[in-house]
Amino acid sequence: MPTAAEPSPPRELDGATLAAAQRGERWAWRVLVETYQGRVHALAFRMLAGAGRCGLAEDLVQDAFVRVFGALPRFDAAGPARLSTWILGISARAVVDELRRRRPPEAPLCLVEERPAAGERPDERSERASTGRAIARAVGTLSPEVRAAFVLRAYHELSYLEIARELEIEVGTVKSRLWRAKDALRAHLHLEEEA
Amino acid sequence: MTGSDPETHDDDPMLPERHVLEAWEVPMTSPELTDRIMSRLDELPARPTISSPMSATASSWSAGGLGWVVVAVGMVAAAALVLTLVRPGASEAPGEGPPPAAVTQAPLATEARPSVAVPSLVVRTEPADAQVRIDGIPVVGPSPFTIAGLSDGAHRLEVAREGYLPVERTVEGGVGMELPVELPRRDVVLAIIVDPPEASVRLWSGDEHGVEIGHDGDRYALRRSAGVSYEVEASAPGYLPRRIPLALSGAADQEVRLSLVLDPEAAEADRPARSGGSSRRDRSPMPELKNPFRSRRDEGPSSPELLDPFSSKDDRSKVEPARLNIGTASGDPPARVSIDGVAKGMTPLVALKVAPGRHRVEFEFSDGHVETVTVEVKAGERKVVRNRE
Repeated sequence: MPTAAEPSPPRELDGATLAAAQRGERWAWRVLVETYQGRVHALAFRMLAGAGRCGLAEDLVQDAFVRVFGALPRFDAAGPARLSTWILGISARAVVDELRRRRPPEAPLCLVEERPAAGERPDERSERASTGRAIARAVGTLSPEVRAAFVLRAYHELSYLEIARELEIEVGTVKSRLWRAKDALRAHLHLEEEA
Repeated sequence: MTGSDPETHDDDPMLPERHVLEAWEVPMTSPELTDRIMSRLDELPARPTISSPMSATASSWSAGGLGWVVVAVGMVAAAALVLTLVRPGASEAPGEGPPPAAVTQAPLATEARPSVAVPSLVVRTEPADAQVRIDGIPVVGPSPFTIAGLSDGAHRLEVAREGYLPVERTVEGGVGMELPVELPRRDVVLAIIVDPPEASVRLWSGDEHGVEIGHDGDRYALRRSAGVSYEVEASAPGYLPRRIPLALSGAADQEVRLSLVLDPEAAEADRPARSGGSSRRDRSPMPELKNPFRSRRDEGPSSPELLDPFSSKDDRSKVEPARLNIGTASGDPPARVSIDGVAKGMTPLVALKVAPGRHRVEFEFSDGHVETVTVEVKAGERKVVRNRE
């Protein structure tokens, strides 16, 4: 699978389009989907990949947006949460529910096609890919809830308060979960290098 | 924590650097994903057209006035209904039925069947005899609790039981799911395991002053309060204090582990003369660097600053650091490693950043003997270091 290109800086839906989407206007729904689906997919992929069920990532993106649009009329644009944060929170909870609902069999990791970046030597690329696999394996050892906190923090740069609000947990619990993620990363990155 | 920004606390779990994390790439989405999502949204059932006075009232929600009165009457009527709690797979024997003590339907749903099928919410609680409420209305139990006909939108789910901390969650209606809810125990016995053993351990709860709870080997009975974050802090003379969030698993007994790192200033003053080769250390147990993702201490001019690939706060010297991969020779067991007197952890160790120059790498094995290797590296050089070739 080709990898996603370097993402453009995250952007938020403009107020007028959001209002239209909240009214149920289809064109605005599509704009909202196009604006956030990349981030939702990245979240779902990383939360799932450790279980080797990467093929479900796009299915879960669909499930997530169903929830998003079901709740969109109640989103308060003037509230404390950005729309992106709110959507990622719903998506993370959707993936957590999915992970807790099923007990998938062990499966190989989803592999991403290795293509060197501009100026990157093949050996550097190989090392980077190895690191990526190690991170994926580390995440795979984490509970769904810890994965959600880690991915939201590490890859979507939500603050502790935002994560706590979206996952409906305490800030201290967010930090505790991130500590667990950090321990898993530490162990797997060392092991991967040794291999 | 009293008045501190949760984003900048000293014991924040600093995650790996950005360039490390980004090594885990994500594939591109398929070109038709947007269309599939839109098609899925098109398939969503229309807002339930429940053919009942309640639904008619719901549709006039925005009308205000008389609509509010009718809604109130309808809610009372709904709350007075006797509803059947359906346990999955079970059949109801004639003459039997659930006690009419509570309802399982959320407000705005009535006995009239909706014109479209609406998925159920199944809540599985641990412990099974918890009390469950949906939007304030009790749900008959025990677990699993099936809440059928939950209207679209957000609903407040509350789960509680004596001896446990209550849990509240917002659930989405109209989307069937199984929801496991595990209640955390209110009373927890903490088993303290701290290194060095003489370290004093304090418990911090929210904004309150820390309470000393003991030393290594002690046990402390904690009665938790809902909504309070707890932290434990260990301190000992000659060591850097350490404070971490208390991550409670929910079990009745839980270990609290903390390892302290020597204060480099104190260690420098007390450090005995070192000799190379195999020798048994005569000192307190080697402290482990429990936070290798962060290394912010200035080791002084005689000991080059050790940088860690996972630290985002390291001083980025203009000189490119060298990187060491450290392990023991084939056939040798793992060893504790220190570089220039600073403990770095157990082998194998990967991509440890060091300043260019000469370094003393010590391998301490479990039987107590120590092997020392001197390594010299240039800027940007990568080198593998073993206790012996």
